[in-house]
Amino acid sequence: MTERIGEIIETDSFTFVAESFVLNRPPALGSLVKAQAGRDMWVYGVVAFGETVSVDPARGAMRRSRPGAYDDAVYASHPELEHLLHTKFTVIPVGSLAGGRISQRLPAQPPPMHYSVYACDADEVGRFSERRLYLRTLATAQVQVPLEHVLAAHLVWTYEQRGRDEAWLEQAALEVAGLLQQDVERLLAVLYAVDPEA
Amino acid sequence: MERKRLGVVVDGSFTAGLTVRLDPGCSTEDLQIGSFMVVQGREYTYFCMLADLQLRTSDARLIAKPPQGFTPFVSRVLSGSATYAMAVVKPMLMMPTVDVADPARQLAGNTPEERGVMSVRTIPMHYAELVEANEMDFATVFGSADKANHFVIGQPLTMDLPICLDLARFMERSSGVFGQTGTGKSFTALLILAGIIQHDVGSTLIFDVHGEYAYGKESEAKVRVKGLKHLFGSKVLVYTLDPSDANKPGRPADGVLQIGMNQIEPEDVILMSQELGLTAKAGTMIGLLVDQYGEKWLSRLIEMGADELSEFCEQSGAHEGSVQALQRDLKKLARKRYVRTEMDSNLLDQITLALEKGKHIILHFGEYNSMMDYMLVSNLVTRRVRQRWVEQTEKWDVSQKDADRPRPLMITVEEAHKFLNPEIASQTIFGTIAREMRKFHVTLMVIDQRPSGIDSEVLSQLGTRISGKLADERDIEAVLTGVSDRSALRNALASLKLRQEMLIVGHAVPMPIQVRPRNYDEAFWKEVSVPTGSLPVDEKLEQEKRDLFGV
Repeated sequence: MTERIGEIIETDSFTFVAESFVLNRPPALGSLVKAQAGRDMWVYGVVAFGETVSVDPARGAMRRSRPGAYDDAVYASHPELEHLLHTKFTVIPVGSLAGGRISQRLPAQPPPMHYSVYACDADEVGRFSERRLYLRTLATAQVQVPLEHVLAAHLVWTYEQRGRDEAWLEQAALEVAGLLQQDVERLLAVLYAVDPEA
Repeated sequence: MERKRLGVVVDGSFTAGLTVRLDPGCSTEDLQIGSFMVVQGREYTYFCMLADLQLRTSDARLIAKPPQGFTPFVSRVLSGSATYAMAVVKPMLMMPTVDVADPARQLAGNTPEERGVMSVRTIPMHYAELVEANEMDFATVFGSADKANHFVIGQPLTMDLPICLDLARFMERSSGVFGQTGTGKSFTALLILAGIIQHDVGSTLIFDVHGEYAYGKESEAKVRVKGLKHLFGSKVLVYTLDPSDANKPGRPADGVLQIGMNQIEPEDVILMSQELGLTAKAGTMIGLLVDQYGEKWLSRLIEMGADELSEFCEQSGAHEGSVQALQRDLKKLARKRYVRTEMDSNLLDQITLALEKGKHIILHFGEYNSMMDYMLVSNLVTRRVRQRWVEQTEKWDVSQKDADRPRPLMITVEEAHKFLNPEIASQTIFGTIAREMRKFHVTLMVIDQRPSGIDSEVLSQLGTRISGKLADERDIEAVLTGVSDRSALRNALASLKLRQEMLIVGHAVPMPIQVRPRNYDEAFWKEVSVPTGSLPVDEKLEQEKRDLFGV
């Protein structure tokens, strides 16, 4: 079993939000994660957003550093920050795993509240990304984030996880190009970002 | 045999052709306009010609502001998606896909129809695949060299495999070989003539005004090539107008052609009005002369002294000055050494008989190679030959016996626009042959570098057209007179290289095809030339002449 990295604190059919176990360390943008959705049922998703905010929305974070005591020193001298702040990340579900079979369809049910989110290891990423139909789901998700950057981050991250698989990257880039061909500025943003030759 | 996929059909119509989205990775530069391709529909396989290539973008911003500083990666990805290419292919023939998959059936038939290839009647649905044609596709459509009367004319532009011409079909209708200077017109004509002689599909009569066919000529590569006489020996008889030419070593001639003034008819002279400088009234004068003297009109006119001339004018009411002018002009003809006052028809009959017996005749002009010589002699000889073929056809029509069927005859004329220009095409014997002589088994092969000078009615009668590159838009139009799918073919014609590339359209090929004509060289000569047997060439020749003419 891979590492547990968070717990779901908001969930619906098209996105879920989890709180990271490590403050300031949400999983990488664009990385593939999975959430348990029931017995032998998993939801795969791509990390589309990460943030660290005050636990109490009414009390925003404020400056804590002093001359000579900043960055890590702030946390060392204010151990209570671990409890006043939390790190959350948003995941766009793109597929599921049921009975050992991967499908690139959205799950019937959103993952349950307070269930765990896990990182995926390289093997699993390799298996899931073998087919790339999920890129379409990702590219058309209705979320308030610039999706071209999520796509770019996902392509680069997966390329690395697959052992710098250039053939995969080129095919995936072609598919993204097909999806974004009506909007060349967004397309070029992705292509320049993922270009392994740049 | 696996065929390389190039793209998928995404749009199109029966009239305009199919629009194909090229696959990412398939570059427009890999494809050539006019090339032969295959679209695989569900029921049918379509044999197509590439008519056009187009570049498209999915977003107008790519046109307004082309992105800079691409890495190869970005440009590869873009070129398969946001920037892409379309090909327009024109289906020409189709065949049930089940038959395409069956090589035995596919290659069994002798004609494309027997192989299951039919003219195109429908178009495939969306996403039918466009693939490169393979060897089997070429063989299915164009036949292979082992089929009856199939002659390898050359190779497709991008592949090394034989493209065949059906020579029997080629001879069924008049044909044209066009192209600007240096495109290889006369070598292509030589190839075809050699093929016809080798396959014995009919007789040929060649007016060799430039001296290229009988004894060969120097090629562009400065190599002396063999002529048809060298290749085929006694199958080919050379008649020359120039007696001095007949005795040169390595240039065997079978006879010296002379013509009598009594054989020259008014139409021969009128045809040469321009060359002789005749006035518009000349026709009337000649008419009066013919009324008076019959077939001797020309010799009498030439011999007339001043008194006799005035006497004639008085009697006939002709204008004396005009007749004098006519006499002056026609003396140019009489001065030719091959023109005699009177000749019987033996020599012309010999030629006609030889053609009937399956020989091939080349008329060699030697030093008499002016347009005037050419027009006079070819018109005169052709008229005699044509007359014989008309008689034969009439005989055959009555008897209906296969033995009486006239042997197909093809007459090769260079500088065809001289005989077939719109002003005179309706009057010359060549115009008649081009228009209606198919039913008498006589056809023309016209060779010209300016097809636009040829009467459009004649052009539209041409069965097979073989054309090299043409620069003038009017010439391109002329070559394609009366051909369907002209816009696609115009592109195919315009895209030919100056040298060694020809477009073949029409009766002798199932669909238009661009070819590189094969080399007219040692290997070809070896392939076509007949074994001369035990007799030395000259002796054998003499013997055949004896057999043929009983002399």
